[in-house]
Amino acid sequence: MISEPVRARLAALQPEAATPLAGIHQLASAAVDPAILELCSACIDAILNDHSWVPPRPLTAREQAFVDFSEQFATSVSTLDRAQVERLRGFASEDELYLFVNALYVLDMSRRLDLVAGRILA
Amino acid sequence: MSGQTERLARERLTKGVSIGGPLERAIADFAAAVVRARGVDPLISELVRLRCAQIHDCRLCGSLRAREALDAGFDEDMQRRIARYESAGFSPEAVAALKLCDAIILRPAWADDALRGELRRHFSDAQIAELCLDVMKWSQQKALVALRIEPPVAESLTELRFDDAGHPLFGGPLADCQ
Repeated sequence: MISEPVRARLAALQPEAATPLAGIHQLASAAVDPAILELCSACIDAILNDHSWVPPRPLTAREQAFVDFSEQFATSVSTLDRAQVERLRGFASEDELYLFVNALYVLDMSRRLDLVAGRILA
Repeated sequence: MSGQTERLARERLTKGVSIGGPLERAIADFAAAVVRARGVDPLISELVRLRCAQIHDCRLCGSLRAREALDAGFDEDMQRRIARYESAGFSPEAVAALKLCDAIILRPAWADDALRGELRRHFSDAQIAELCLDVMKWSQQKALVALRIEPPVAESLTELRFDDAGHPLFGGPLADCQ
Protein backbone atom coordinates (compact mmCIF):
# COMPACT_ATOMS: atom_id res chain seq x y z
CA MET A 1 0.00 0.00 0.00
CA ILE A 2 2.93 2.33 0.70
CA SER A 3 5.94 1.98 -1.57
CA GLU A 4 9.18 0.91 0.06
CA PRO A 5 11.06 4.21 -0.48
CA VAL A 6 8.24 6.22 1.12
CA ARG A 7 7.83 3.71 3.94
CA ALA A 8 11.56 3.91 4.69
CA ARG A 9 11.55 7.72 4.54
CA LEU A 10 8.59 7.98 6.92
CA ALA A 11 10.18 5.42 9.23
CA ALA A 12 13.38 7.48 9.36
CA LEU A 13 11.51 10.70 10.08
CA GLN A 14 8.76 9.35 12.37
CA PRO A 15 10.05 6.02 13.68
CA GLU A 16 7.46 5.64 16.41
CA ALA A 17 4.59 5.51 13.92
CA ALA A 18 6.36 3.23 11.44
CA THR A 19 5.67 -0.09 13.15
CA PRO A 20 1.95 0.49 13.78
CA LEU A 21 1.61 1.80 10.22
CA ALA A 22 3.03 -1.46 8.88
CA GLY A 23 0.72 -3.33 11.24
CA ILE A 24 -2.45 -1.75 9.90
CA HIS A 25 -1.43 -2.56 6.34
CA GLN A 26 -0.98 -6.23 7.14
CA LEU A 27 -4.25 -6.49 9.01
CA ALA A 28 -6.22 -4.50 6.43
CA SER A 29 -5.00 -6.79 3.67
CA ALA A 30 -5.94 -9.85 5.72
CA ALA A 31 -9.41 -8.51 6.57
CA VAL A 32 -10.81 -8.40 3.04
CA ASP A 33 -11.28 -10.91 0.22
CA PRO A 34 -8.03 -10.52 -1.79
CA ALA A 35 -9.86 -10.42 -5.14
CA ILE A 36 -12.13 -7.63 -3.90
CA LEU A 37 -9.18 -5.79 -2.41
CA GLU A 38 -7.28 -5.95 -5.69
CA LEU A 39 -10.19 -4.53 -7.66
CA CYS A 40 -10.84 -1.77 -5.13
CA SER A 41 -7.14 -0.90 -5.02
CA ALA A 42 -6.98 -0.57 -8.79
CA CYS A 43 -10.08 1.61 -8.82
CA ILE A 44 -8.72 3.90 -6.08
CA ASP A 45 -5.29 4.12 -7.71
CA ALA A 46 -6.91 5.29 -10.91
CA ILE A 47 -8.91 7.96 -9.10
CA LEU A 48 -5.90 9.26 -7.17
CA ASN A 49 -3.73 9.33 -10.28
CA ASP A 50 -6.38 10.99 -12.45
CA HIS A 51 -6.63 8.00 -14.77
CA SER A 52 -9.67 6.23 -16.08
CA TRP A 53 -10.04 2.59 -15.05
CA VAL A 54 -11.70 -0.32 -16.75
CA PRO A 55 -12.07 -3.56 -14.80
CA PRO A 56 -9.91 -6.38 -16.16
CA ARG A 57 -13.01 -8.53 -16.76
CA PRO A 58 -16.77 -8.30 -16.37
CA LEU A 59 -17.51 -7.92 -12.66
CA THR A 60 -20.04 -9.86 -10.69
CA ALA A 61 -22.79 -7.91 -8.95
CA ARG A 62 -20.92 -8.39 -5.67
CA GLU A 63 -17.64 -7.14 -7.09
CA GLN A 64 -19.35 -4.18 -8.72
CA ALA A 65 -21.00 -3.18 -5.45
CA PHE A 66 -17.66 -3.17 -3.63
CA VAL A 67 -15.93 -1.27 -6.43
CA ASP A 68 -18.69 1.35 -6.64
CA PHE A 69 -18.57 1.82 -2.87
CA SER A 70 -14.78 2.21 -3.00
CA GLU A 71 -15.02 4.76 -5.78
CA GLN A 72 -17.47 6.89 -3.81
CA PHE A 73 -15.46 6.45 -0.60
CA ALA A 74 -12.30 7.70 -2.30
CA THR A 75 -13.99 10.50 -4.20
CA SER A 76 -16.18 11.98 -1.45
CA VAL A 77 -17.11 10.01 1.62
CA SER A 78 -19.34 12.83 2.83
CA THR A 79 -21.74 12.27 -0.06
CA LEU A 80 -21.79 8.49 0.20
CA ASP A 81 -25.39 7.59 0.86
CA ARG A 82 -27.37 4.97 2.73
CA ALA A 83 -28.33 3.16 -0.48
CA GLN A 84 -24.70 2.39 -1.24
CA VAL A 85 -24.25 0.89 2.21
CA GLU A 86 -27.47 -1.09 1.83
CA ARG A 87 -26.26 -2.42 -1.52
CA LEU A 88 -23.12 -3.78 0.15
CA ARG A 89 -25.21 -5.25 2.93
CA GLY A 90 -26.72 -7.49 0.27
CA PHE A 91 -23.34 -9.15 -0.06
CA ALA A 92 -21.73 -8.77 3.36
CA SER A 93 -22.61 -9.25 7.01
CA GLU A 94 -22.32 -6.35 9.47
CA ASP A 95 -18.93 -7.65 10.58
CA GLU A 96 -17.68 -7.98 7.01
CA LEU A 97 -18.94 -4.52 6.13
CA TYR A 98 -17.31 -2.95 9.17
CA LEU A 99 -13.99 -4.65 8.43
CA PHE A 100 -14.18 -3.71 4.77
CA VAL A 101 -14.79 -0.03 5.49
CA ASN A 102 -11.91 0.09 7.96
CA ALA A 103 -9.64 -1.70 5.47
CA LEU A 104 -10.76 0.74 2.79
CA TYR A 105 -9.69 3.64 5.01
CA VAL A 106 -6.23 2.09 5.33
CA LEU A 107 -6.00 1.38 1.60
CA ASP A 108 -7.28 4.76 0.43
CA MET A 109 -5.29 6.92 2.85
CA SER A 110 -2.11 4.87 2.46
CA ARG A 111 -2.15 5.41 -1.28
CA ARG A 112 -2.71 9.12 -0.74
CA LEU A 113 0.09 9.25 1.80
CA ASP A 114 2.36 7.38 -0.60
CA LEU A 115 1.69 9.75 -3.49
CA VAL A 116 2.01 12.98 -1.52
CA ALA A 117 4.85 12.06 0.86
CA GLY A 118 6.68 10.52 -2.10
CA ARG A 119 6.65 13.89 -3.85
CA ILE A 120 7.09 16.21 -0.89
CA LEU A 121 9.71 14.26 1.07
CA ALA A 122 11.68 12.86 -1.89
CA MET B 1 -25.32 17.15 7.61
CA SER B 2 -27.09 16.93 10.93
CA GLY B 3 -29.81 14.35 11.30
CA GLN B 4 -27.73 11.54 9.81
CA THR B 5 -28.67 8.17 11.23
CA GLU B 6 -26.46 5.14 11.65
CA ARG B 7 -26.22 2.84 8.63
CA LEU B 8 -24.96 -0.13 10.58
CA ALA B 9 -26.37 -1.81 13.65
CA ARG B 10 -23.36 -1.60 15.94
CA GLU B 11 -24.99 -3.89 18.47
CA ARG B 12 -24.86 -6.64 15.84
CA LEU B 13 -21.09 -6.37 15.40
CA THR B 14 -19.04 -9.14 16.96
CA LYS B 15 -16.73 -7.83 19.66
CA GLY B 16 -13.14 -8.88 19.09
CA VAL B 17 -13.82 -9.69 15.43
CA SER B 18 -14.89 -6.44 13.80
CA ILE B 19 -15.48 -3.93 16.59
CA GLY B 20 -12.51 -4.09 18.93
CA GLY B 21 -10.94 -6.64 16.61
CA PRO B 22 -7.31 -6.82 15.46
CA LEU B 23 -7.67 -4.27 12.65
CA GLU B 24 -9.52 -1.73 14.77
CA ARG B 25 -7.01 -2.13 17.61
CA ALA B 26 -4.12 -1.72 15.19
CA ILE B 27 -5.67 1.45 13.75
CA ALA B 28 -6.04 2.77 17.31
CA ASP B 29 -2.38 1.95 18.01
CA PHE B 30 -1.34 3.78 14.86
CA ALA B 31 -3.48 6.78 15.82
CA ALA B 32 -1.99 6.88 19.30
CA ALA B 33 1.56 6.75 17.94
CA VAL B 34 0.80 9.64 15.59
CA VAL B 35 -0.73 11.71 18.37
CA ARG B 36 2.36 11.20 20.55
CA ALA B 37 4.50 13.04 17.99
CA ARG B 38 4.69 16.63 19.20
CA GLY B 39 6.93 18.32 16.65
CA VAL B 40 4.26 20.57 15.13
CA ASP B 41 2.66 23.65 16.71
CA PRO B 42 -0.59 22.42 18.33
CA LEU B 43 -2.51 25.28 16.78
CA ILE B 44 -1.49 24.15 13.28
CA SER B 45 -2.26 20.52 14.15
CA GLU B 46 -5.74 21.61 15.23
CA LEU B 47 -6.35 23.52 12.00
CA VAL B 48 -5.35 20.40 10.05
CA ARG B 49 -7.55 18.17 12.23
CA LEU B 50 -10.55 20.44 11.69
CA ARG B 51 -9.88 20.70 7.96
CA CYS B 52 -10.05 16.90 7.78
CA ALA B 53 -13.30 17.00 9.76
CA GLN B 54 -14.71 19.61 7.40
CA ILE B 55 -13.84 17.80 4.16
CA HIS B 56 -15.01 14.41 5.44
CA ASP B 57 -18.06 15.94 7.17
CA CYS B 58 -17.22 14.20 10.43
CA ARG B 59 -19.67 15.34 13.09
CA LEU B 60 -17.61 13.88 15.92
CA CYS B 61 -14.29 15.52 15.02
CA GLY B 62 -16.02 18.77 14.15
CA SER B 63 -17.54 18.88 17.62
CA LEU B 64 -14.19 18.55 19.41
CA ARG B 65 -11.58 21.14 20.27
CA ALA B 66 -8.08 20.12 21.31
CA ARG B 67 -7.16 21.47 24.73
CA GLU B 68 -3.56 22.08 23.65
CA ALA B 69 -4.75 24.22 20.74
CA LEU B 70 -7.14 26.20 22.94
CA ASP B 71 -4.26 26.88 25.31
CA ALA B 72 -2.20 28.03 22.31
CA GLY B 73 -4.86 30.56 21.32
CA PHE B 74 -7.26 28.65 19.06
CA ASP B 75 -10.72 30.20 18.90
CA GLU B 76 -13.94 29.71 16.95
CA ASP B 77 -13.16 32.56 14.60
CA MET B 78 -10.24 30.46 13.35
CA GLN B 79 -12.53 27.48 12.89
CA ARG B 80 -14.87 29.56 10.77
CA ARG B 81 -11.98 30.71 8.56
CA ILE B 82 -10.60 27.25 7.77
CA ALA B 83 -12.86 26.74 4.74
CA ARG B 84 -11.25 29.75 3.01
CA TYR B 85 -7.87 29.36 4.61
CA GLU B 86 -5.78 30.69 1.73
CA SER B 87 -7.22 34.18 2.11
CA ALA B 88 -8.25 34.10 5.76
CA GLY B 89 -5.25 35.68 7.43
CA PHE B 90 -3.60 32.53 8.77
CA SER B 91 0.18 32.39 9.10
CA PRO B 92 2.15 31.15 6.05
CA GLU B 93 3.02 28.02 8.05
CA ALA B 94 -0.64 27.25 8.68
CA VAL B 95 -1.57 27.83 5.04
CA ALA B 96 1.22 25.51 3.87
CA ALA B 97 0.10 22.80 6.31
CA LEU B 98 -3.52 23.12 5.17
CA LYS B 99 -2.47 22.90 1.52
CA LEU B 100 -0.63 19.69 2.34
CA CYS B 101 -3.78 18.41 4.03
CA ASP B 102 -5.86 19.21 0.96
CA ALA B 103 -3.36 17.55 -1.36
CA ILE B 104 -3.63 14.34 0.64
CA ILE B 105 -7.36 14.22 1.15
CA LEU B 106 -8.61 15.94 -2.00
CA ARG B 107 -6.12 15.63 -4.85
CA PRO B 108 -2.61 14.17 -4.55
CA ALA B 109 -1.62 15.88 -7.84
CA TRP B 110 -1.57 19.15 -5.88
CA ALA B 111 1.61 17.91 -4.19
CA ASP B 112 3.93 19.63 -6.63
CA ASP B 113 7.28 21.39 -6.48
CA ALA B 114 5.65 24.64 -5.41
CA LEU B 115 4.00 23.02 -2.40
CA ARG B 116 7.19 21.15 -1.61
CA GLY B 117 9.13 24.43 -1.55
CA GLU B 118 6.45 26.17 0.51
CA LEU B 119 6.41 23.43 3.11
CA ARG B 120 10.19 23.28 3.34
CA ARG B 121 10.37 27.01 3.99
CA HIS B 122 8.38 26.52 7.18
CA PHE B 123 8.85 22.93 8.35
CA SER B 124 11.60 20.36 8.77
CA ASP B 125 11.22 17.03 6.99
CA ALA B 126 10.29 15.40 10.31
CA GLN B 127 7.52 17.97 10.82
CA ILE B 128 6.23 17.42 7.27
CA ALA B 129 6.18 13.67 7.88
CA GLU B 130 4.30 14.31 11.14
CA LEU B 131 1.75 16.43 9.31
CA CYS B 132 1.30 13.75 6.63
CA LEU B 133 0.67 11.12 9.30
CA ASP B 134 -1.66 13.52 11.15
CA VAL B 135 -3.80 13.77 8.02
CA MET B 136 -3.90 10.00 7.69
CA LYS B 137 -4.83 9.64 11.36
CA TRP B 138 -7.53 12.33 11.20
CA SER B 139 -9.00 10.68 8.12
CA GLN B 140 -9.75 7.54 10.11
CA GLN B 141 -13.15 9.14 10.40
CA LYS B 142 -13.82 8.30 6.75
CA ALA B 143 -14.77 4.80 7.87
CA LEU B 144 -17.06 6.21 10.55
CA VAL B 145 -18.64 8.76 8.21
CA ALA B 146 -19.31 6.12 5.53
CA LEU B 147 -21.41 4.25 8.08
CA ARG B 148 -22.55 7.41 9.86
CA ILE B 149 -21.44 6.13 13.23
CA GLU B 150 -19.68 9.37 14.20
CA PRO B 151 -22.22 11.26 16.33
CA PRO B 152 -20.84 14.13 18.42
CA VAL B 153 -20.02 13.37 22.04
CA ALA B 154 -22.43 16.09 23.14
CA GLU B 155 -24.59 18.81 21.63
CA SER B 156 -22.07 21.47 22.58
CA LEU B 157 -18.39 21.63 21.66
CA THR B 158 -16.35 19.18 23.71
CA GLU B 159 -12.79 19.32 24.96
CA LEU B 160 -10.37 16.81 23.43
CA ARG B 161 -7.24 15.77 25.30
CA PHE B 162 -4.90 12.82 25.02
CA ASP B 163 -3.29 10.74 27.72
CA ASP B 164 0.44 10.03 27.71
CA ALA B 165 -0.13 6.95 25.53
CA GLY B 166 -1.92 9.05 22.91
CA HIS B 167 -5.43 7.79 23.62
CA PRO B 168 -8.25 10.34 23.36
CA LEU B 169 -10.02 11.68 26.44
CA PHE B 170 -13.22 13.66 26.07
CA GLY B 171 -13.66 16.45 28.58
CA GLY B 172 -16.49 18.76 29.35
CA PRO B 173 -18.49 21.21 27.24
CA LEU B 174 -16.67 24.22 25.85
CA ALA B 175 -19.41 26.81 25.44
CA ASP B 176 -17.00 29.54 26.53
CA CYS B 177 -14.73 29.22 23.48
CA GLN B 178 -17.42 30.15 20.94
